[in-house]
Amino acid sequence: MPDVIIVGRNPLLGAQLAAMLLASPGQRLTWLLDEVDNWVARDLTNLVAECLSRISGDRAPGLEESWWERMKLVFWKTDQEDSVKASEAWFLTGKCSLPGVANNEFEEDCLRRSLHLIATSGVGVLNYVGSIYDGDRGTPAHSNTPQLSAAEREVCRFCAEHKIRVRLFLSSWLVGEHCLPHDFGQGVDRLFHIMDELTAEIQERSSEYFDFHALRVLASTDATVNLVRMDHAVQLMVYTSAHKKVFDFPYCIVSTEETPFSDFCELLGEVYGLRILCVENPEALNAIDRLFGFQLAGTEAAWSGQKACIYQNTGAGVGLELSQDAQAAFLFSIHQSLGKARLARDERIADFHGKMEKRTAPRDVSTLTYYIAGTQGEYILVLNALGQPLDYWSRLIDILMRRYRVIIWETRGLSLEAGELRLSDLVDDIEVIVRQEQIDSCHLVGWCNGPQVAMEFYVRHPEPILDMVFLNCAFTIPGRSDLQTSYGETLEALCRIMIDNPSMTGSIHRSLSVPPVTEANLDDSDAEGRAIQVLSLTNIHLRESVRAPFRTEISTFNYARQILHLVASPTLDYAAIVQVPILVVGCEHDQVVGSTKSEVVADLFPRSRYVQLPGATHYSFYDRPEHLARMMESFFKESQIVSSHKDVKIVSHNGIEREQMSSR
Amino acid sequence: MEANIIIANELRTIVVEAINTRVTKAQLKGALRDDVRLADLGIDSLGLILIFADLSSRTGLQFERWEGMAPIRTVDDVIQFALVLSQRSGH
Repeated sequence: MPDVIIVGRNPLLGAQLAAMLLASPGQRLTWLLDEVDNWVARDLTNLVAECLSRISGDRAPGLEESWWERMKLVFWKTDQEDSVKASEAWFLTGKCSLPGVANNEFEEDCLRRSLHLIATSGVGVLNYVGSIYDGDRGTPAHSNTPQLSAAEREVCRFCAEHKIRVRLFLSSWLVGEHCLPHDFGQGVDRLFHIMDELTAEIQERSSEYFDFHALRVLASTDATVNLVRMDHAVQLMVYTSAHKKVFDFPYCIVSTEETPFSDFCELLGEVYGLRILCVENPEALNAIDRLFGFQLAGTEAAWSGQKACIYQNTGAGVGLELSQDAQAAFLFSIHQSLGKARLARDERIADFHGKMEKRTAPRDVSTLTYYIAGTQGEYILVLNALGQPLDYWSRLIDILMRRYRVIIWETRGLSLEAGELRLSDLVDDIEVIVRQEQIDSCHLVGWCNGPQVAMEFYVRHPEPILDMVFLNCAFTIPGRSDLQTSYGETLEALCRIMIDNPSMTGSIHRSLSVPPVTEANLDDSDAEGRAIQVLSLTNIHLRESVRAPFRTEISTFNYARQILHLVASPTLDYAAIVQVPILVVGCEHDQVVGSTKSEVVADLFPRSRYVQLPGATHYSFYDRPEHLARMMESFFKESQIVSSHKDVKIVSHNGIEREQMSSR
Repeated sequence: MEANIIIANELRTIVVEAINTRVTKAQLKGALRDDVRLADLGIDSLGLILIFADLSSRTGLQFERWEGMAPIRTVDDVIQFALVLSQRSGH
């Protein structure tokens, strides 16, 4: 039995393929993944075991006991490539269309590296598994054969040059009962993840929105999707690879039947407990619908392009159809899995502080308490907003701590009865931690006023800083009061009243400590205004936390003093000297710091990237932790590439983001 | 009676002035209708606290929010709140 390698960026399909291959006794395989840690490895091996158990249960009981000795899951680093040997390879294509996450370059890089590995590992046959929706297929060639995309042609050319025979499998939407919560998903699986993320995000701002209003998606009335059972598709591909000597020819894995997209949406809505309507007129969409559409970017080819059933070039489509009952069962199963993952996450972070190691450092006026999450990887220092608790970070740190050592603390000084903590004291705190933990290099991630402290630290000690991430940064930009939000102006005005007239502090403190009215008018007849109101709301779980600086009259007064001190500090004057890459993230519905300000800030730095998150608020890293974690990891990787190759020019990928990462 | 009406009218003028200074949407500044929602004027809960601080300075009354108070959503809600405070303080 020839050894097999699996590469590419579709772990869900990879797990099912691995299970199918391992079901053959004696089959050995090496699965190389770009992003694998203990967490991911556990998810993947569990899924392989589950699929294998299902496959082998009938025909080879007991097989699953030894399979893990025949599968090697490898974190793919270039220096390991020489040791990989195989006679057959599977390349599984995959995209990750998220704002701020490098896609094209990494996708091309992944293909390039995979082809190199395939050529050097002795592979004689490559099975390339792509999507029928990739690229523009144009009019089918003879025998309903789709035209190849540029990437597929490149693969064929490379394989011809290296005398490797290539089989191309092109599939429509593969649907199964499984999903991988840690992954963003491909094709229809991506759609399920988006549904899960979007509905959870909206419901955490307004729990009733979807009780009264439907979610709309742009699609023509005759739009259809082509759904194929994933397990059957994998079975067919593995069988074909073992028994058919058809090469350099796209083998289409599509169903003979098309499913009306509106029916599919109706079913999806039933599973998620809301209504999903297909509309043809873009003007019928509100801000929430457009956010849904934005996130679906890259998947809409499945219902807006050529119907996949025309690519019936092999007759293999018979038996691949997905009945409505199976569709419902699979969708329900996926919805349940994603819900369970969310619950498990919430249980983990319920004891967020307990999961981190608490450390202290003596300071002149009070003790600095900080926490470390994670035991391996590079350091990330989180610079929290003034006076805010750590709760905001729980979801993001839950992800980052798998691969990084994250250090976080609350800014000091709000409870001081005498004396004043200044910006330089906040910078001293970073210095103390860096020294005490003997940190040689780290990433700095700051939120709100955190980036100002990060910048000041950089000016004082640039050496350990690899790069910086500025989330919703609240810098003061001289001469640009127009960039101030109404919230920012009001807060500053209140702070001035308290400092100019301290006797007002008690009254203002009492008013600030009362929960504000935070509800959207769901009866508003203006659909757009209604959706924007909902999108602008603070997450339900954070509404208590935002009032933390106003716990006491003293903390309110000290907070006012610190805010005004930061406002008066001309930190951005040093922007031009910052040499490390900076990722600046702005959010469309940030009421505290407008996204325009973030964009202007990004422009002031020599090496920066600006990413705007549509539909997000000041608390995006709590609302979208997976996205933010992926964005940061992608940025950290890229910034290291850019740092080592000064001439690398990273071009824009998608959406609203804008980049200028090249050295200037 | 007449004096009360004069005080109420003065208070109303002061409240409307205070609100007007916080209206972020220029086209809405000026003569405010009583039933206009503060949110529609671009005034959020923090903006309302600033208006309260302003009104406290101008009137000497203690404008504060407290737990359980009826939500203040419209211009008229602020005026009525001011009148209640005024009556309580015996002005």
